[in-house]
Amino acid sequence: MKMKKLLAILMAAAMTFGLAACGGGSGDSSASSGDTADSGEVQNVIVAIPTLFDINDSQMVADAINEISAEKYGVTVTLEFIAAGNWAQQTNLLLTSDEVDVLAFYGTPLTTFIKNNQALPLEDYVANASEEFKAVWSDAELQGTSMNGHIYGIPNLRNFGNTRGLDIDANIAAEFGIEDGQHMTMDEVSDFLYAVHEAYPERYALVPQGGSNMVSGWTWDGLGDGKFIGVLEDCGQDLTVKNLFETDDFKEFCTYTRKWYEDGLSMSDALSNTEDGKKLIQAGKAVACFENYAVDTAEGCIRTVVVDAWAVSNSYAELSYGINTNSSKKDAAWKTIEMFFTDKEICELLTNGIEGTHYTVNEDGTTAPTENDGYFISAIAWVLPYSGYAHPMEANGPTYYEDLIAFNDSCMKSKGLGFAFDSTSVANQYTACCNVMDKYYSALMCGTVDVESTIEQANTEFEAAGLSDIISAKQEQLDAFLAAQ
Amino acid sequence: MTNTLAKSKKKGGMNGKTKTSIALISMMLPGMLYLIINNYIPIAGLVVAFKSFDYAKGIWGSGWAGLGNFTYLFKTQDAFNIVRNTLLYNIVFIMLGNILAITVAVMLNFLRGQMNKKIYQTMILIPYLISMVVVSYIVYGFLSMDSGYLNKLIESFGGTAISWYTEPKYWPVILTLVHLWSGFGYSSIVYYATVIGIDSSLYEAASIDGANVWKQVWHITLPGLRITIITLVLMAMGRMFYSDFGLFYQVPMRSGLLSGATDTIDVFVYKALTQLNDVGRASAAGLLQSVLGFLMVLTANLIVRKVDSDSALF
Repeated sequence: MKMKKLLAILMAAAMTFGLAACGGGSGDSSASSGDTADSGEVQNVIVAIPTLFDINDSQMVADAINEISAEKYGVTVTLEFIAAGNWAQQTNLLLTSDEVDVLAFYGTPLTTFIKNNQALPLEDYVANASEEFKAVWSDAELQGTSMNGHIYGIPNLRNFGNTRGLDIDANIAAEFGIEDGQHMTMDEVSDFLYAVHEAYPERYALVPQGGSNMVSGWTWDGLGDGKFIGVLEDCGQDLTVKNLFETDDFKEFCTYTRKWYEDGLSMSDALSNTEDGKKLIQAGKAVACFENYAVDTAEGCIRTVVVDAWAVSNSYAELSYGINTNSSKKDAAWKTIEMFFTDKEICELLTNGIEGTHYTVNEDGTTAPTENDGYFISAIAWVLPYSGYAHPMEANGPTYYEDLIAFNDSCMKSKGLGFAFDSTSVANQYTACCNVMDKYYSALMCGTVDVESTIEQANTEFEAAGLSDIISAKQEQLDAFLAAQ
Repeated sequence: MTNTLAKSKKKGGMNGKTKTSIALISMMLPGMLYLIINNYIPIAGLVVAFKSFDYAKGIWGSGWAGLGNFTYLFKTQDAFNIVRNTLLYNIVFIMLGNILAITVAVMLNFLRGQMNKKIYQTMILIPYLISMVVVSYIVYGFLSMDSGYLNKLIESFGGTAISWYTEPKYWPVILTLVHLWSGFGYSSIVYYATVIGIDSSLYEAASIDGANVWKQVWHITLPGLRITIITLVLMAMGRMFYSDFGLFYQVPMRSGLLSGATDTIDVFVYKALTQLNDVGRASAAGLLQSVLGFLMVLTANLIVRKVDSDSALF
């Protein structure tokens, strides 16, 4: 009996503590919504950046940045590189409290961060920013990361559009007389794949771009929705929202891949594949894969063009930098963002690391890596806030960043550019439709199932899941967005 | 195991040795603390299931959502499918899993020689220790279209290769086999622990009376296992609405076409939430699973108590 009493008391205590602890948390956050006054002392800002591999020397680089920034801007930074695989989970936890100040809105759609009230509106900061900062992005470009008149993130520098084409093993391409940057129609791609299958029967003629994903996107624009539940056709030039499975482009693509699959040209295990297409090409197991790319090159491959470069409507919002609403140092956080986008010295440090330690500069202004790979983030500079002022890597060529900026300016934009679909009003239908899409999309794109009967089956399921509600909601939001422009 | 625990408890109480109980309680404390911190304190957080969670306002400051977070579980046409899958898989797993585990435990008991017993125990436990991600590749080694062992076998007998990862109809069998293979070692050792606790003089007496091996198993081993069986089945029933996420998510290699046969509540919720990133809905699904599981345990226990009140858990 004593035991039971003791237990009961302990449990009750535990519950009370639990309540108190949670209550405490919310108290903190409401207190922090007022900002710490600009007292002139140096404030430390925590910056979270996604990465694909370990960055061991982040502290060393942060120290080097702080030497400059403490005096010049009154802020110091702590750089937290978080693996992309853990990104969503870790940032979600960081965002519940004050553990991160500046972070990339990445992985989850920006609209979700906004809906959850995780992102701080930045328009006042932007309005008062330096001229240098305002020169980086135009107002129209900042529309891409805005919602209902509030700017929530500052887009980072990466390719906003993508060319889609076939990556081909360089040696084999030379043998067949195909050149880098050459335009190909789907019929030409098909002829090439059949010919190469004949010549190299032991290699897959075509493999998915990565995993079971035949190619990331094509000519359809999901309007801020990577699942493509309701799309604009024709690279976003046609303003009617449609069911992807009823568009001609999709049916045409799947009909080709289906034929290739049935004739043994492509990987029969495509749906359970976990390897990267280019790695399979480099390893001599495959000849070609579809790919989306901008001005970057692929080792051992040439790149052809099937769909000319164009930008999807949410291209600016896919990765932007912003401030945690729970941050207690919002002003310092903004200063840090401004510094990342304008200070050339800091930009160089953040992109390439420390000269002599992590890289050396070649005569043509490109960087050569040293043996120390503790800060190799330049290989994936597209995750960083702004690397436009830095020396580009050797492999990318001396004019890489100029080319990139020019590419962004010149590529065709979807007519819905800046629009991002908010699925809140149709959340239940959206979940259901995502499940239907997950079920059939990769299978159809890889050609592993019959096109016509599967699309028919999928459309019946879409109808039951409420696709028409989503399409009309999307169309309505899009029309309102376009009318407001 | 449960028997010995119960015995020692009784002994302490009967002899009134408070010193022993203090020692025992202090041994229990770290575990208790862990349970309180890890399992009881977070219960308060369940309130999130009824909130539309706002990161800036925190758990208590966020507005109420009523039952809004639960609707997505029922409004979809998948709801029936995932509940059916979860329940049916669990029923099959509990039945076949226990039968297999008990059989293996009894067989282990008949093994002669310590060395043999150790070797077999270790061997059957190994699959349980392998991560589901690794298991999924072992399964892939069997089922791959190009190089899978099964397809090679079928082809060598003149058949045509089967595209396992696009045909949902095979998966209930595949997943059941994988589950049994990976889980039977662990549960049979739990049963085995009880089997070796059965008084060996009972067996001696039975064999003198002329009972053969089958009769001994039927009349001595199985009745001796009854309480353990009931306890384990009741606990398993409490988790009827849960599923082994690794098994259902990893082993089908995320092939969408299989989702009709392989999606359980956990997998569905995981998929839905990675798309929506909504804390409220995640908690709603978890709360619903726990409440339904709790009701299952209560019902099962009630039935057990009606049939045989000594064996009931509470």
